[in-house]
Amino acid sequence: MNSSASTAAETARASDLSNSVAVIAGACDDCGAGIARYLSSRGAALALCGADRDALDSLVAEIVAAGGQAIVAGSEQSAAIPDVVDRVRSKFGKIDVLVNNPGEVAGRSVELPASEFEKSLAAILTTAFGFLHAVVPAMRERRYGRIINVYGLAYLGLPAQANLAAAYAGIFGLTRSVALETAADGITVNSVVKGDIARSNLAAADADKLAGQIPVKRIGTAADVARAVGFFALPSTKYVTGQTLFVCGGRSAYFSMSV
Amino acid sequence: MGFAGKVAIVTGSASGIGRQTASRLAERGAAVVVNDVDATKLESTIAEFKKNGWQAIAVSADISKKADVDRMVQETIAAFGRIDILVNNAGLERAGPLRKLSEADWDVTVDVNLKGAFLCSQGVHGHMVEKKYGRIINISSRAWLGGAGQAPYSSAKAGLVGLTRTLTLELGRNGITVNCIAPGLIHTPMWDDLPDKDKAFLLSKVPTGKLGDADDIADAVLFFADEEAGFISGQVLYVCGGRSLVAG
Repeated sequence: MNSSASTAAETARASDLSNSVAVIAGACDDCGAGIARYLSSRGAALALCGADRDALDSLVAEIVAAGGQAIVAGSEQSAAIPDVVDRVRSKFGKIDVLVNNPGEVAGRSVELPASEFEKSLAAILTTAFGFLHAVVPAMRERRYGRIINVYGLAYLGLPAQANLAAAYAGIFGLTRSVALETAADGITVNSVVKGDIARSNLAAADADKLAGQIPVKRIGTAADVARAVGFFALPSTKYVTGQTLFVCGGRSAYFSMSV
Repeated sequence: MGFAGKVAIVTGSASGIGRQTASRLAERGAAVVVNDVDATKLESTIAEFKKNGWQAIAVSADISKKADVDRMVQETIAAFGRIDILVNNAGLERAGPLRKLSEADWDVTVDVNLKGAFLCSQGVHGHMVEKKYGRIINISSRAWLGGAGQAPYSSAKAGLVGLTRTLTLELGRNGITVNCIAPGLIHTPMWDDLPDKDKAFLLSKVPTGKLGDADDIADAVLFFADEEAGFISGQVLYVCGGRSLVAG
């Protein structure tokens, strides 16, 4: 076998999402939009979900203007998920990639009202479950799927973030459980865990303070997160499943439970 | 994802995963140092690299010896002037139950897998600090989680995880990221030599039911080695078909 020829073939395959249809559940925040732009730049057709219709419309317009394919698929509320999935299938015929990117929820102390705690769980964990539940059967039938769950370092148990710790740790377990359940069906399920990432509502002084506590001495960007999501979304990333990759500038090395 | 202008050392790259990783880096424009302790295997590998028109030199060196590592670093600087990427891939295994392992089994396994990565990281890091840029990728193993009959190997590969996290904390401020890949069952020449019943037994432990290949590991190395991966450090990425999630 000519090793250079096989390498070239592998390279072409590895860098290609042009046959992939990706649903991004939560495309309204900076990270979600960054993921959408990145997957589109690698050739994926996109179906975007989120609560902010105007934000989704303008993101779709931007992607289409740049030569990509994208539609607004609807809200990411649990009740809307069956409709969203039907809409994507009728437009693109299939779903290859699912990215769960729950929107920003403020971290709260354990003293928060139980009803608020339940709201956080619903927005983060129940929604992620809802999308997995909706897309896995057809992925199984087609024997192909790439699922990426995006959440935050708070899952390791940061103080005064009880709601986030519980919801994110739920997604951590869900990732591993569904990965094992679907491993023999050509489906991979992985997590990308965000550290401190720049966002439009983060003050410069706060960003500098955060940067000082991170081993690489800077905060991350939506593009850093998007690139990691893109790696797991590739057809060629076939032997990685159930895994957790932190995009955190090395901050996870301060914690146990992060390997 | 291009590596033009970057210089990479890949240890243990005359064959297998190391060779495929070095090929993929060279193909995308990196100048590559192909290293192995086996000078004969190294000759045919470097000949193939040259034939492909890739920028590469071969350095025969035992990375468990400081003098050899120092010479490899000097030859790299003499040839290419800088070092951007280090892939600590060289490894070997002496397996067996605790009662049957010798002191020599322990020493050679720990020396090549762990001490070698320490010496190479130490050898290159000054050149990386100088440029405020570096990518170190350690090839550990899923077996660092523990495996019966693998005391020296598992210990050495676990050591690489500690080294990865420690160097992340030490070198991060200098633009250097340090990450770790933990391969599971990968198709290598050694696999082909196994009896069928052993193959079936091992595959039954992999959730995907399949072997990985050298490109699965090379893909992960290139992901971490990329200039754009500057916000990812201290990580252990298992490329094991989900085997890290299950016992044994």
